[in-house]
Amino acid sequence: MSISSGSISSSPAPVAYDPGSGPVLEVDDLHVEFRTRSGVVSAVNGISYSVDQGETLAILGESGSGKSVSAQAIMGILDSPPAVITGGGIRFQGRDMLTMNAEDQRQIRGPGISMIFQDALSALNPVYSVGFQIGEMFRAHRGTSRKEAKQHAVELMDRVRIPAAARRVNDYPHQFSGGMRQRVMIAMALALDPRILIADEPTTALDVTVQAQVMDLLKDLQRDTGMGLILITHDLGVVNEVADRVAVMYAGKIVETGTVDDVFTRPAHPYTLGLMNSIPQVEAKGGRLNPIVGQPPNLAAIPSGCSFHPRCPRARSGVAAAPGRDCVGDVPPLRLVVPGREAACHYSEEVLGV
Amino acid sequence: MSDPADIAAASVLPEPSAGEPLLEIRGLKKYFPLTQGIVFRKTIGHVHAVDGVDLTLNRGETVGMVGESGCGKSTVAKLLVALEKPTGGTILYKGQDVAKMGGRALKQYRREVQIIFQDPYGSLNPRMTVGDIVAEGWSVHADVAPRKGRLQRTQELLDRVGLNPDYVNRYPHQFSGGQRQRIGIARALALRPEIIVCDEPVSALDVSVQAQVVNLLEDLQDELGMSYLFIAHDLSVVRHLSDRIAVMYLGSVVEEGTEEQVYGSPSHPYTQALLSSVPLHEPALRGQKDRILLQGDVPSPADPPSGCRFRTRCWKAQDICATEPPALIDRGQGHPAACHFAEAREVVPVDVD
Repeated sequence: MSISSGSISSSPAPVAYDPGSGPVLEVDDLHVEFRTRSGVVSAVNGISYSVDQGETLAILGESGSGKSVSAQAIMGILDSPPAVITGGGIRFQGRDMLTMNAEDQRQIRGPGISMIFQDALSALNPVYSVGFQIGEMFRAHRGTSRKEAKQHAVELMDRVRIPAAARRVNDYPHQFSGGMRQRVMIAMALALDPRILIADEPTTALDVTVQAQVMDLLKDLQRDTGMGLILITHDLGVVNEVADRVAVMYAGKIVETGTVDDVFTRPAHPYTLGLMNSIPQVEAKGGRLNPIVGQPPNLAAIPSGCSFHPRCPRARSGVAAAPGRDCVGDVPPLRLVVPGREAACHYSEEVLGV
Repeated sequence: MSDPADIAAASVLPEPSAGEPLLEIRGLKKYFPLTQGIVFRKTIGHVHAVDGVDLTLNRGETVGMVGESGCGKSTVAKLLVALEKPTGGTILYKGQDVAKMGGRALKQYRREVQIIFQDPYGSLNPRMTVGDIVAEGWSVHADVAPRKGRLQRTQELLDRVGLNPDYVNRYPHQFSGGQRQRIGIARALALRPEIIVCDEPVSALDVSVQAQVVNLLEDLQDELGMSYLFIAHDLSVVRHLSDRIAVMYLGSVVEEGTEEQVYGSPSHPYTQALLSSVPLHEPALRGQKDRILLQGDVPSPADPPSGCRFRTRCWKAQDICATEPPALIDRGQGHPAACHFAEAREVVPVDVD
């Protein structure tokens, strides 16, 4: 369903989706820095990915890996200053978002790409009713009247399965439970039928039974609308159950990418393997955990060469390393390791055992 | 260094005989008053945070307590370390009622039951050095570590939890989340506890660091033989660490059993729903379990449903559930569950390899 097809659309530059023209969203060698008084922090160091229609891409990483910053760069909601996009491009349906003017960007945010956040309570405005806030999308983008906007809000609340939507449309965010608030935010994000939905840790703050409800809802909505979903999370279980492809981030870079089945059954990067081994399973009691040693790096002083080398059991340098593959000196490029899988490790073949 | 035998000699609490539980909780209740008005505070109701919890903890054992937010698990932790006074019920420690303890006995209880908090940022005083934080307990319990060797003992503790002993003079803000949690563990260990109440100790940590702390807790238990009450909402971490598990819902325990019993043949509908909601990490197991999606949210503990508390979200609920609260007893599943219609059901698929 294209958003330009409806009669209520009055946007000057409608974002029509042209199927078959390649990925909806492409991120190309994106760099983001935070220039603070105490130094430059490199949060995102050249990441590239693309999302197709109807596809779910999970971006998996620990805190400080740059996963949320890359999403904020796409939405144009980086705090700037201190954040600066120092290089790369973000293309939505082939148009570079970083070079377009503010009004064109605004036309993409909402109808083109929208986002939901981890903490619904602070993402919603406490002094406006949820109906007003959901309806705001229609008023701001389509000039809909207040009354009509509220009607749309009720429909959307129904769609995200908020019980008694018509009665609750005038309630305020604090009157909803955590899971319901998350649904309100999803309703806002879906209001203009976006082609891409970015979900930044959408269920991290929720209990596991509510998490299951919300993930279920997102899956159903994606199936109905055919939108692409970028799921940012640190939870390997959620990635496994929801995503088609996964990009694993470490210290501002993508270190491995491929289909979830491939990456999770046979990781090609020692960091991914380390994550898998760190996690206790609910299916079995299992033996001792096998964690990654050390701490995630400080982004103001990212280690040389492969940024994972201080924590990597396979890291080698000097005479032990193959020429040009010194983990301390040579930065490993993200390269095709086996068909359909890229990894940024000099010794991925060893990790895979091929 | 003081000899542990010295402390044991000074003990005013009798050692429990073999087979007797170290800690026993019976019908524990905690209601928080809801008040209205500023000058004349009127109590208009009560939040039933903990409403009749029974639990036993044996020496050297880990009991896991799982449940969703608001189910009262953290209140149980606070009651155990005597940060809150129970509204009803008893806590028996080494056979003695904690509520009736006073003076030296209570002091000893407080030394022997320590706690590790969830938030590694909020639970350490930012104006104290790490050394002072770890050693603070000794200013009250001076007999645990003689004045002379305290610096050395502090450094030993830091070393034991995997921190550089030279960091004694650093401040908490100089450490990462995982390291701070280690400081909290060292502080608990400093008083040679018998029981450590771990209130969501790894929830705030990244996965790679979480595993390090989980391993540390396991090693310390093997070495020092303490008991843990491990409270968490992460079902996989709880399964990994615990010998026995209690599942809580809205202030009471709905199912209890060994790790194998609760995860392998959950019998309470809530446990089944909870376990079926956990996303699995194995691609091969994806879609192999039937997910039980619960309707609605947890009811308010200020106005809990009559009878069985879970009945408002339960697919098995019948008339009896509204009138008669189910007892936590074994109904033929080999372990107790508080459901009139308890029935074992496998919801977590077994590993394929």
